[in-house]
Amino acid sequence: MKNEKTSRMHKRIALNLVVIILVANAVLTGFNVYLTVQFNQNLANLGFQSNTYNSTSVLIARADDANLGKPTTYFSLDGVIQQTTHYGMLYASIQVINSHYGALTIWLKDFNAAESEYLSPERLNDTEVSSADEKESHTYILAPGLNQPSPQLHLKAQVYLNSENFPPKGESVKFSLGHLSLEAEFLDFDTQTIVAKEFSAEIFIVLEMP
Amino acid sequence: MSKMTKTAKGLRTRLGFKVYILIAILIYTVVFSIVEITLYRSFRIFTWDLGVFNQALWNTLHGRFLYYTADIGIYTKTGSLLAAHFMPIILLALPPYAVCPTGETLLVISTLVVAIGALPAYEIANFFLKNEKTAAMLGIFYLLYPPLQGVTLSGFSAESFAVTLFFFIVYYLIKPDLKKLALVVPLGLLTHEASVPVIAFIALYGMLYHRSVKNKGFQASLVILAICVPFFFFAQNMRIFFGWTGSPSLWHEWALMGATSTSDLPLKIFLNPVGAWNSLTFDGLAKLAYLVVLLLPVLFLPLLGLRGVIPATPFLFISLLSGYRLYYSLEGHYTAFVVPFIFLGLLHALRRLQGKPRFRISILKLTKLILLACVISLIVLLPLIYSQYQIFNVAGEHDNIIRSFILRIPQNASVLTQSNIFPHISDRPDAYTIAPPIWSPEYERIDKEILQNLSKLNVKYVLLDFSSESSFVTTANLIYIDFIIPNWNEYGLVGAKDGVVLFCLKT
Repeated sequence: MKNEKTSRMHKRIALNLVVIILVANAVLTGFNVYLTVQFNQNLANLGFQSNTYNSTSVLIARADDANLGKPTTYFSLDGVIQQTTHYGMLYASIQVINSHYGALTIWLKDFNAAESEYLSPERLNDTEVSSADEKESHTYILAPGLNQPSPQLHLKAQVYLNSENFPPKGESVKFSLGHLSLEAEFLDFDTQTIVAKEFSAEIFIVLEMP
Repeated sequence: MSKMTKTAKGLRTRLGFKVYILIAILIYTVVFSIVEITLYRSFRIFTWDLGVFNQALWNTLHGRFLYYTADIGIYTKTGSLLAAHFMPIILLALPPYAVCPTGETLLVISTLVVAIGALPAYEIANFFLKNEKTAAMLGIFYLLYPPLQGVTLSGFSAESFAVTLFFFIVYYLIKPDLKKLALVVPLGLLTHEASVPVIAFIALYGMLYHRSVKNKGFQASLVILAICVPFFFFAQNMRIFFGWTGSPSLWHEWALMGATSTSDLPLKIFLNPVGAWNSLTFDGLAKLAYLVVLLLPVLFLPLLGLRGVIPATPFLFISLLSGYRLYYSLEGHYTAFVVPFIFLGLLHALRRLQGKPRFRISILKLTKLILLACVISLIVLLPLIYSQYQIFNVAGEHDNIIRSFILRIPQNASVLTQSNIFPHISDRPDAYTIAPPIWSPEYERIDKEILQNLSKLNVKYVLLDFSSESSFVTTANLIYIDFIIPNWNEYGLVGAKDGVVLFCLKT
């Protein structure tokens, strides 16, 4: 008799537990649905807000000055150093406010070498700053809203030295190599309009005789 | 109304408790087909495989036997699906697919095939327990068993056929019904080359079950075992025949112990036991959780009937030694190699308990308890799986935009797109996609090679969705950067809306 009572009590406890678990799950699932619906509603509102900015995109671009540092390679002719190669990073910061999805592309336009006592005056125009990797441009796909990509461009500089004026051995000299022009272009996929912005960075190198 | 009641009663009398199984199969097929089609239409379902199967079967209907493009140069030189995996069983889906050749049809077929497994599950349970009511409950339990939902929700796959055929093989082997066994064993072998070791272990189980050499079932098991060994090599050779590149899986599942394929494993375990231990303990918590989730809905009872779990050992062995999470999670179709044998282990345990007079709870009550545990597990686990696919977050408007862009692509034009859109445009010979580059750096490298090769093919349309899920967005980004930008002068922007962008080759 007692055993029967105990087993009945156990059964009731088990049944109650199961019912509680089922109800809890049903409530949580309902809550999950509610939150998801609310999230979708918010998304729709955000979409509406972003539409109010409408079609024009705003593009702001700037780049820090870049120091490509000491030479990684020296080229010499008849024992006189003629040319050096430098590598380094250029950090740019872009801000785009756009109302549609689009692609932002950044590429190097041209380089204007500055005159310097350490650079060969005859080959000043041959001084070159280019992309160090295979990438000719950097592309970002941007979602509507404010986007702030920070591209890092790996640069390579080919420098022709003035063989008559080297810095003293053991000393390093930092000087400006010139200005690098870059262009940022934002293509709005929906309107197919392009907003472009030119910006530049001063490129420095450090010269040190081996 | 009375006519319907009479028919129902008639069916009940004629079919016994089996009628409940048939109703359950019908409900399961309808419910899960709706769920899968909803996922499919929201561009979210396991799209890689579905796109591949849709393209292979569509091409078969149009004269190019099981041809697909997604793995050309990776696993297949020729584009034949049989080079990637030897699974001619999928040709069984061809007649119904021919009636309505779409991804939705494939999803309904695979759901039905998985659901049919409840029939042999019921028959085996009845055979073991000699109680139709309990067997019917266990048949329904099988359909509610959460690891089975992984097979169903992963869309169309050869594993959907395997999971059901394994059951039929076990049933006809223990019965034994040699004629029907002679039909289902070859079908089982044709599901996937990975099914061969499982069927060999079913044969081992059959030998242990029948014991006596004089028993027909024992002899049949021996024959199956003898067939499996050469068939495994035959399947591998067929893959080579159809153009397999010989490339091992790009997932590098057993890289921790230096093995490149399953056939490498035994030797590597012997030569590198430390590596094997590291592999086993890698992601240990997830592996433990996997085992718990497999056994919890059956109240860990298969541990009392380990003999039934024997055929699951080949897959458990390779999955627990791997570092590839899909092998030891409920998502994906790989549980197909385990589910039938957990069920078989459960039946062994129930029969064992049935024979013990000291065990006070009746088997019927225990089965009810298991069913309840299974329902609770299903309620708890399914929302977790659903949340992954964001079933409640179907963005109807955005999906309509994708569909409207798909409609702008002429039926026979070549298309390149990301893998979540691929199943919807793969009903053409020249449909292309690439794997999400976030899968691995090796996939990214191969993707870039594929895009470079596609540049030479003058693909007419490129459809990208930059506002889909992150893995698909990375694919869209890669296609834009490595395909559209290098060919910028050749492609024009046809239209764009809400992140969906369509490019067309300029004429």
